[in-house]
Amino acid sequence: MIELSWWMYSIILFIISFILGMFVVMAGVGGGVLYTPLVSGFFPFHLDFVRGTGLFVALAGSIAAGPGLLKRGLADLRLSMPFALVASVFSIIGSFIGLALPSWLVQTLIGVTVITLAIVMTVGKKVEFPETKEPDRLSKTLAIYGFYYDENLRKIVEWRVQRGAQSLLMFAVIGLIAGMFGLGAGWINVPVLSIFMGIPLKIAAGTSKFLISITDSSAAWVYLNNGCVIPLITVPSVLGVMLGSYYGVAIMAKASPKVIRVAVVTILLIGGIRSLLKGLGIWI
Amino acid sequence: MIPNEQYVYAKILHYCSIVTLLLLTLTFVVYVTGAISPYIPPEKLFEFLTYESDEIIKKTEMPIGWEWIGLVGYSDMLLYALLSFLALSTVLCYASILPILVKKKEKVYVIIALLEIIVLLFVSSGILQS
Repeated sequence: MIELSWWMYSIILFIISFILGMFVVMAGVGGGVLYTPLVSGFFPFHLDFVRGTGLFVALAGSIAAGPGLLKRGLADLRLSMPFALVASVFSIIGSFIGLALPSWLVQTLIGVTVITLAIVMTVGKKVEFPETKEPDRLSKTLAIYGFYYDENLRKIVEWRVQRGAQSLLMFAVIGLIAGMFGLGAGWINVPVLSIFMGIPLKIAAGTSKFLISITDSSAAWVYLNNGCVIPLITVPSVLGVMLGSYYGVAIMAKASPKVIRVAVVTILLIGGIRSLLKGLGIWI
Repeated sequence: MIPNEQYVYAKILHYCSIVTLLLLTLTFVVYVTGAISPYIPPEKLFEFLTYESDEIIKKTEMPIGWEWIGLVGYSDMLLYALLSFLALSTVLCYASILPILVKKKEKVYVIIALLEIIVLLFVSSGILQS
């Protein structure tokens, strides 16, 4: 086995994170979901540090993309705030559960979760404009609704929220998983916002990306305060993802959605299978 | 078309992202080149990256939580300071929109913003330890 020096690992982490950062933006996923299984599977770092970094990677990608999404109306602050509060509280609980569980179990569960996601991404259908029934009481009380200009349709699209109360419960589960596995949460936010809550896909994807900056902040603090964040791993990864995200936005228009989807599913499968085998002790 | 609080939130978040990116890059270069001494040399830290976090803290006497404040003259502790700033960006954004929400008399959203700030400050304080 080739032994690399610390600075070689820093360079490799930066390059991998840069590439992941491009895909993250183009595929509309968080970042941690690609980073954590891949790096925990193939790098000789303890899972604690990879999960801590995974959260910072998702956080950094979200903070880099958030301002543009908010200014263009593709992410909605009013929609995010109540759900982010619930998710961030539960991400703290999830982080403590994750740190208390044995590493092999967490690694195995990450593998199972990521492989399931890859399958869902392959067979699942995306509904660009889901049908929304009457908004419920919570959505009315919080006045969660909005509209945006759709450049493809060249018209203003109005949106509102259904199943607001039940969605709070779903965001509690999302927060729990995000904190426990250090996966971020973009991969699960989008289907909940879109299919369950009836929000148009563009707003769901944008709001999901922005939401991560709030949800993962609280989980990231748990890992930071417990010595699970090592600058040697975290900083090149964060810089790679941020720069990759900026570059991804620039080349987004030219990229083929089908190619991006295949690439992301492939990365998920490689990382997921490797995590599962490592967790089960089959391929250490 | 976009509410004022959303615009202000985006503006503050943008500043946070730019400041973090620039300072992290600069400080990491300083760290890897050794221009400013690190508290724990990277080659020493690297030897323990397969260990659990508890063990690495014991073996390297690595500071946790806010302990970096007393050691901020070291390059690796500066990196902790910047990562802490990154994780506190949301608090800055929420704090900056609070006056707007109060002025608009958005009582529910004022409460939600205050609760989020409290949650983040509480978890960042390090009172909760595993």
